[in-house]
Amino acid sequence: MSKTQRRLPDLCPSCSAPLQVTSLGCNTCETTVSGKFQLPVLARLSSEEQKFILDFVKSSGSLKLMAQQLGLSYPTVRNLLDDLILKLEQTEKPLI
Amino acid sequence: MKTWLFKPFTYVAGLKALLLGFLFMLATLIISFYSKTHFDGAIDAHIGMKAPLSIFAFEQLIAWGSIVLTSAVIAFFVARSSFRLIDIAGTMALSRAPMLLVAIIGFSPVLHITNPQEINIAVMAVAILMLVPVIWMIALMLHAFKTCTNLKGTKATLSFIAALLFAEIISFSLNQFLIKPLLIK
Repeated sequence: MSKTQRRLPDLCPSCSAPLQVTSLGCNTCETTVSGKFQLPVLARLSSEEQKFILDFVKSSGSLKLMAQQLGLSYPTVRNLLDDLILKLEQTEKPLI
Repeated sequence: MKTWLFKPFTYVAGLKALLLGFLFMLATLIISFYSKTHFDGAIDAHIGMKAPLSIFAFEQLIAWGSIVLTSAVIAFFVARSSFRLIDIAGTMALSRAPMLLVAIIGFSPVLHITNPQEINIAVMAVAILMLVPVIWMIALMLHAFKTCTNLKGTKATLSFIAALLFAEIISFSLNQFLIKPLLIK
């Protein structure tokens, strides 16, 4: 079995519009649910950005601790967070 | 390696950078005293005049303090992100590390001329050599400014140029009114 990590696509490869979930399946009983569900905002972020948010939560929101763990300076980590906040605000806009 | 030379503030800032910067400034101060290299401006370096160690120390403090002050004031008005004064003070102090090389180049006897007519190719060559660490310092200062304020692109460059210009005006004025009268005495 291939162990290639597949990234959840969030934009249409054809027109670049945000993708929606149209089908969900149960691995146990093979039930399929169809519909149109919007991807959560966090799922639209890159894997690196999602990891940053997880690390941020795990370090109780301490940028100092994160900077130590990542081996980066405090302002660098704060800038990453600020850029992420800006991206989240922009990502949330079409949903509102 | 390249990142550490030109973008060190990705990894170091705040108090750590301030202490490291002060260490470099202290080493520069001692060497510049003996090579008679004056850092009498935010990005200036002039060679020749003998002066007490305290004058050299004040010149360095004015040079560093002026860019910290103007960067902080401009960041306050322009930056969207919050910033810490300790990061600006620390990264700007460490940005001055290349001035150690300028102080060493200051020992070059060709630079210690008293008459402008003595300027020859050798003097110009060493003067150009001195420009390299100065340009390196400015590149570090720009990176420090960008890192501390999270400003990017043209906005960052223009804001930094403004900070540098105001720092030059402040440091020049302070040197003229506070340091120069002491030198004449």
